[in-house]
Amino acid sequence: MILVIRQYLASLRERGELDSILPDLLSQLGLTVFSRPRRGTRQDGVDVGAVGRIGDGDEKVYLFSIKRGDLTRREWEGDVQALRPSLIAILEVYVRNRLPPEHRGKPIVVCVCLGGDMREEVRPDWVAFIEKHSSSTVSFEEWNGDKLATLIQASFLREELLPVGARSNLRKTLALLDEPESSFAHFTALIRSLAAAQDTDAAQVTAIRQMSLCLRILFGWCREAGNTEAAFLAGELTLLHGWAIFKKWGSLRTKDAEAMRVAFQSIYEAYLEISGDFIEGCVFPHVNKLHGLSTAVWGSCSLDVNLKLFDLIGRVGVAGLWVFWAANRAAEDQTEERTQLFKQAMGLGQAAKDMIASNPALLLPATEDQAIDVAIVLLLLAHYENNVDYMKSWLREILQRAVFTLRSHGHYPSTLRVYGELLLHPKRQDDEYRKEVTAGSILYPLIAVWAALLNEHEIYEEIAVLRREILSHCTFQYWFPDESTEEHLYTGGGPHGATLTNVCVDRSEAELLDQLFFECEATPHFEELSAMKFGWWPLVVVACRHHRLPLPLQLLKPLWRKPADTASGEVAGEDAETEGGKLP
Amino acid sequence: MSDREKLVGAYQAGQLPEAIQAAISPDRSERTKLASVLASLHNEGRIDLVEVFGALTRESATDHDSFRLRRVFEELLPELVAPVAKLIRCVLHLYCEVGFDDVAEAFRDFCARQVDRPKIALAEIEADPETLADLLVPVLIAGSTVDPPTYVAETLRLSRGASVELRRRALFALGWLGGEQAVWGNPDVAKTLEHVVEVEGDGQILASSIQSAFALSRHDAANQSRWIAVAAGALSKGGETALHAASKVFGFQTDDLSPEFLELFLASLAQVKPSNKGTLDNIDYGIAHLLHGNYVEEGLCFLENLLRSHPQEVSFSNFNDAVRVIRSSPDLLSKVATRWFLGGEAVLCEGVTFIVDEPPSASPEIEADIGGLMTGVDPARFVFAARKAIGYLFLKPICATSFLLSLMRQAPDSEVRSELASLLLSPLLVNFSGGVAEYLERRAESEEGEVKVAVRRALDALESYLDDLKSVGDIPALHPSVEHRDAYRRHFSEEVAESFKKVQAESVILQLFPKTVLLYGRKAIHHVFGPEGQIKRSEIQLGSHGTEIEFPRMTRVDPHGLDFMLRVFRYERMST
Repeated sequence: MILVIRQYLASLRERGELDSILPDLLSQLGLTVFSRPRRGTRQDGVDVGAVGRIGDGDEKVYLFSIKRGDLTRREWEGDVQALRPSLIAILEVYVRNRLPPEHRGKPIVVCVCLGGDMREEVRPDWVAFIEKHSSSTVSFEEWNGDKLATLIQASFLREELLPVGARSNLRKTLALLDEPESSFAHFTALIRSLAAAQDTDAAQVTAIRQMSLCLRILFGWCREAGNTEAAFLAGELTLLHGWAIFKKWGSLRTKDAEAMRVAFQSIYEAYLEISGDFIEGCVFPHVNKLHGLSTAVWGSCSLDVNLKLFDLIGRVGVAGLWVFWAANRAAEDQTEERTQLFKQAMGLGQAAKDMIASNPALLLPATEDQAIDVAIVLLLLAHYENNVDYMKSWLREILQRAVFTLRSHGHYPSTLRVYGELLLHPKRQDDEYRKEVTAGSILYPLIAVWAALLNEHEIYEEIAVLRREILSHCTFQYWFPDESTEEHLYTGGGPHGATLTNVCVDRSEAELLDQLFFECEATPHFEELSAMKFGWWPLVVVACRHHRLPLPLQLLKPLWRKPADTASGEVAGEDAETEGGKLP
Repeated sequence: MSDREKLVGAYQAGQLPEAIQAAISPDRSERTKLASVLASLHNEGRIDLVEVFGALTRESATDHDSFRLRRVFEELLPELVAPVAKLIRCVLHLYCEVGFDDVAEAFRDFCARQVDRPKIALAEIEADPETLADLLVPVLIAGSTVDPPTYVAETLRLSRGASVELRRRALFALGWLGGEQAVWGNPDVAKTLEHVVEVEGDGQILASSIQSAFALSRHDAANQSRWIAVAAGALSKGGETALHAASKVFGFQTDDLSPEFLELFLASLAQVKPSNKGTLDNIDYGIAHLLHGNYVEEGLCFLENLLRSHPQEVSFSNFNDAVRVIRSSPDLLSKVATRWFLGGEAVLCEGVTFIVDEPPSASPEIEADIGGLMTGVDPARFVFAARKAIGYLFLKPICATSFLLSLMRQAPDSEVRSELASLLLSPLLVNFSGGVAEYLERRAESEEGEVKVAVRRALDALESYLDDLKSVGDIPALHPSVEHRDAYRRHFSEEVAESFKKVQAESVILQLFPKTVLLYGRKAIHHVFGPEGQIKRSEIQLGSHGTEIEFPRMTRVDPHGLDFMLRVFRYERMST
């Protein structure tokens, strides 16, 4: 296991990645972290500051300066960011001026934290530096990859700290990275076992830190292997399971709750990092290349391309919604950051549009299930007024192709889910088979709702005709959360929620919207979801994407109530924002 | 024992058919000699061939290799000396019951050997027309060769007689009687046919009239209009049987048809019922002859009319001979492809697909028939025809590309040429970046002027498109899961196994020879045992064979879009 961790540490590319796990490690070692890494602010050489006892020693102040990978001569004193100037800044500025008053007078240990090793060519300088600057109150330590790996193993992955089989699952997860589904299956088992083993508050804090660490280790390995698919799926799963643990602590203000908040934040950051890496690495550079992503799937058939592309666009949609949410959360005075985030969200929306334009597979779902991804992207696009025409044209194209394939008994969207069955679809080109595999639909009601919200009467009318002429047998439905949803939404347990079955597309647009939004108001279950209460509504979207659930209609409520808001760029996040929007 | 004695012995033992069978040699002169020996034994009274052959049944004849027995009997029959009354029944039995198809002709030759034989035979037939009517035609023809005036008169008499069966045959015989002067110079022949057409309602009688009228017209140009009128009258009231008779003439005597008869038959045969496959086969044969000869336009128009009239029931698969003629002539193929794509009728355009589909792996080049059909055509029609070519020849991309190129060469202006070039790029080059690109690279060398520039530009655009695709590189995170790949592999191998089985079941070779399966090795060793038990060793070296198929890129990337586009290309129409 040490080797696994050692390799992970060595693989960290950014200094920031090491920054993320060190505070968790220190907390787990029993130290109190009083200073965390921050970008763009003066830190005077200290990346992480903590105080406490390690083992049986005295209470000391630990000041860390972090460098990724091996320490070379260049990184020792090659530039402003080099280690030596940082250490001098710690001694001459931080210790004198910025060390919190309550810790003054305590012994100080200045630690050089390295993902890799200190190169031999630097060691004489390091030894000389220690000799020159050591005193009765200041000492120096080298926390290299080996030491960190040993501490991580001892603090997080010790047998007695882990459920039975967890280490084995982690190893299998890493061994099967080339087969992301298998790797993810083992990781799921690992996360579920960690989530289940929570006897005490401390154990829960440890479990959530373990999840974060395992996710980061997986990501490191995935990146090295050049395939981050397993890490992406694992990121969503860990985030959702992390939330399922964290939500109980959300409203508490205890020390453990604070530790829990920090630990969950770490998972969230890891999730964002993985998601960003995936989209920027696998998707973004190719969205404008005609058929680029479709070809990159290397599918055996069009079904492979279709399934992967809808999955991808759903991921882009979720990423965009997170950024949009973050923009809304930014403080009023952070105007520049806010503007930047809104632009970034718009960029992700544009990426989704480019994907659609370059990859015609996205013009017709193969399964009803893919209506979820369509809904996510529509939700993102709806935040910007200039997308309205595009949304209409996308919906129109989807509908036209669906109608064409339904009428010609082609590859129309079906309720089939098993890949082997989808391969054979359409098994027969007759009405009876078509009835069988189009028994229910969330896709057409979704298009109808959006057509109604966007005042696109033609599309709405076409849905009504389609229902009347071909899909009269089909149950047009919409899913709503119920009282059991909170329990299962994040962790993906058994069936939950309630489905409205007679979505009335045969009536006017206004009547349809009245019917659906009436149902939204009829129960408080959506508003009572912890993610909504704490203002983390994108978590609901992630849960829906990951566990393949339709997006709750409540997320569209602002569009219905205040159609004018579609222009303002504040739709779904608005309600959440008014209820806090910050980590509780 | 001599051969003669062996045959007599076999006769006495009741095994003459087996003995004949054993004695038959593949050598024709030997067979003639055998027939002669048998006839002489019969004429000497040592064997009774009429009795022996009269006892054959379809089953026993099959046991004895009926084809050879048939040939021997047909050869010896004219030589026999036998009572006509007895022989006629034997012949009828062999003709109707055993399947000796040409025995009637041999009986005709038998009758023609002696003047009284036709007379006796005719008397027998008239005495029992229900049974013996089928032999009336050979008897009348035989009679007309020995005594033309009498038998022309007899034929005319029977043509108006009371027996329907005899009228049907006599009217047919009218066209085939010997003694030309007695027939052509006899005004009653035409009168009889005209009368028959006027008063008869029987389909077979009218069918016979058509065939006779046509046969007579070939020797009597002066009365052409009368024969045409007879045939037209018969066709107008003779129904399916008459049409079938006309189709026989049309199919098998196409080269002898006068323009008037051709016109009549083309107009009448257009009424054929699609369910009458035999008639359609004859028509197909006739059209093939027309296309092959000097009546290309007539043949094409007729084919088009038939397809248009019955788009659901009649298809190009009913016209295999005509299709073969078109396929084998590049000029004709060019003509029909241009004509049908310009017209845009689905039923005809599908024909181009059908024609170039054989052999399935080939994709022949087709040049648009510019000089003949495109002169003065609305420029928009160029693009229309090009889209049709793509719609119907998409899976034969070289066909479609060559057609487009030839249109580009003759395009009336740069705008049209550029539109055609954009079709060249998408969907052709984008989908078939292998075969079509190679073809165009080759052709670009020989093209000139604007066409060359346009082709080069399309190839450059393809290269840029492919460069973009290549730049995406390998992204393992996007690949289908192992589970999906395995599922697809299973699905695909099941599909291949299924189609392999189907093809094997239809394979003529596999039906002729037993199958040998080698589990190891690269050659098969056979030991052939000689008459003395010695072994002759032979080796068969195994070869590999394969074929290459380029799947259109869009079938993976955008199957619905491709399907929709091709349907639009196929079914769009232009206002005239």
